[in-house]
Amino acid sequence: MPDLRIHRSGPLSTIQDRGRFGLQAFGIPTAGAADAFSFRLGNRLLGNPDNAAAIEYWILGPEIEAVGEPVRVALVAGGGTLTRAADGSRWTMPAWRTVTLMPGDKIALGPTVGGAVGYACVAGGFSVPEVMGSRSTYVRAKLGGFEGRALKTGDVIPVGAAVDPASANRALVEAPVDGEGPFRVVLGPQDDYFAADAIARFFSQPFAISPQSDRMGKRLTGEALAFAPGKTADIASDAMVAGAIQVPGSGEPIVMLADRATVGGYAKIGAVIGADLPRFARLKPGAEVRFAQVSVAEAEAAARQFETTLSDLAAAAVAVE
Amino acid sequence: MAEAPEIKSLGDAALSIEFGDAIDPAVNARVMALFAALEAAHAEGALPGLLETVPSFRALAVHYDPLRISRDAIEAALAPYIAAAQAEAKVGSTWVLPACYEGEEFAPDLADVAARAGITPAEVVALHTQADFRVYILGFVPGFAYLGGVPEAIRLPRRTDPRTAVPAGSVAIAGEMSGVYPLTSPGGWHLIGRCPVPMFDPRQDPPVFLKPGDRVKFKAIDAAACARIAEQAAAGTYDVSALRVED
Repeated sequence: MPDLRIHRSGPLSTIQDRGRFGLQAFGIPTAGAADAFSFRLGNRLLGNPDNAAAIEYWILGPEIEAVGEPVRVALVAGGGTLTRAADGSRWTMPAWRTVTLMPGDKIALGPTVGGAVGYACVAGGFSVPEVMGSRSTYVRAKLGGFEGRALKTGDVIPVGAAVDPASANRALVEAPVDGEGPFRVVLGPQDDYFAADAIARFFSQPFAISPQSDRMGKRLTGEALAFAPGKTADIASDAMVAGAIQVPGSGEPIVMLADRATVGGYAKIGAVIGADLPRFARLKPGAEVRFAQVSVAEAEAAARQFETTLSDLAAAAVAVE
Repeated sequence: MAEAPEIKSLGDAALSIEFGDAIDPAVNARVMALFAALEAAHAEGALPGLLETVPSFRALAVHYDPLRISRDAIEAALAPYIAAAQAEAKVGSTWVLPACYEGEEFAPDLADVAARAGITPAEVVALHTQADFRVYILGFVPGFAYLGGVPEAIRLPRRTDPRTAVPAGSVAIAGEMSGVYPLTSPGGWHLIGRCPVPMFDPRQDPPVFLKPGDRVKFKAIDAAACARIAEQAAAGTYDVSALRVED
């Protein structure tokens, strides 16, 4: 089995799979890939199961080197600079293709294209130990991934399976394009905590993504939302989901992402639907966002469309050198 | 007959079944009865598409896969369980957690809590060890159980100057809640003791032994006993099941 050695780590590179589910009742967060769309598409380019563990990075990733045996890497939502060990030649590789690293070959990942988050998926996935059913890193509790932490220079990470270097690499014909439309939201469970005009305003005014955003959540800045008469931001804490839009006393929403706590004590006006959450997670600080209300039935149709888009993109991939 | 709960959307892949707005043992008992019923049904594969359930003070979140079951269909599938869940049903276990209430290291706020309550530190310890706590919810960090039931006399608001690092194992109180910090983490609660039993241990299955709906009592131990348990816990030889009692 090959390994990958980490050189020059990026600012926040972690091992993630789809997440750690089934233990939220014990207070154990799901973690998992922040942008499930890019992550799953990268695995499909390699013929991996959707859940194979990958490196997630933000803007700039680490430089990675194949050790021992060839490793096939999918460059997801960000390209990289490849240095071949055989002749020292350097190649600029675009995003959304796979590349086979021979032992000693290195590729510097990033910058991301189209958003803030990128992935390096590998054929066979990273074979770090499963912790409670998942390989996702949850840094706050030092759980899962590689030693429960972000990757550092010098780390050597085991890869699940070596690949036949003679088999073809694959690339998407076209990079996936993000729509410009508003982010769709299902109201609840505490929409009754907000003044009627605050809900109307939530769906009509723009917000900006604050720099105070991370894998736990993205803060939004904009005109504060008012609570209904007799209500405040505080609730008896209840469960949160990815995409949940909490509104603390400041009136400025926070959209919860992969590393959210399992429960929270602020009123939730609604939640970004699953089909739009990857696009939301990719947003960079300063981006302007708008929200639109949809019904659960519309969200269910969007979830099916999301799966179709993912399958169609992967199926259209072509062999490349 | 209690009022039927309200069902609300929690995004497009979960719903929140709400039994009330306030923190109330009677409301929580209904949450836990449904949690237990749905867990049992899920274990038997009786609810296809259901992923997991997460209880909290007054609501139960039900996560499901919208590609496998629609909102309408899951609501219909849950209806008989909601109708049948009885708050009187006995849910969960009772645990007696050892805690050392001695010394500045383990109990830095004990004297202050006593002074503010107008009683002696020994009386604070007596109140805390006599109380019957209920596990309302786990969260904040993995394995942090919100234990409702702090006696009135020692209910204090959170500290005005939260600590940036509360040591793992700290036994703390704030308002009507008590808790044991599973990991060293920031915190604003009053630290009155130290529990050497790990609240969160990824080596164990499940990694957290307290479950929502369980009941908890504390038992005072001395520093030597605390050190012995801590040593066994670090070595992975401490058996938490010995802390479960019949009631």
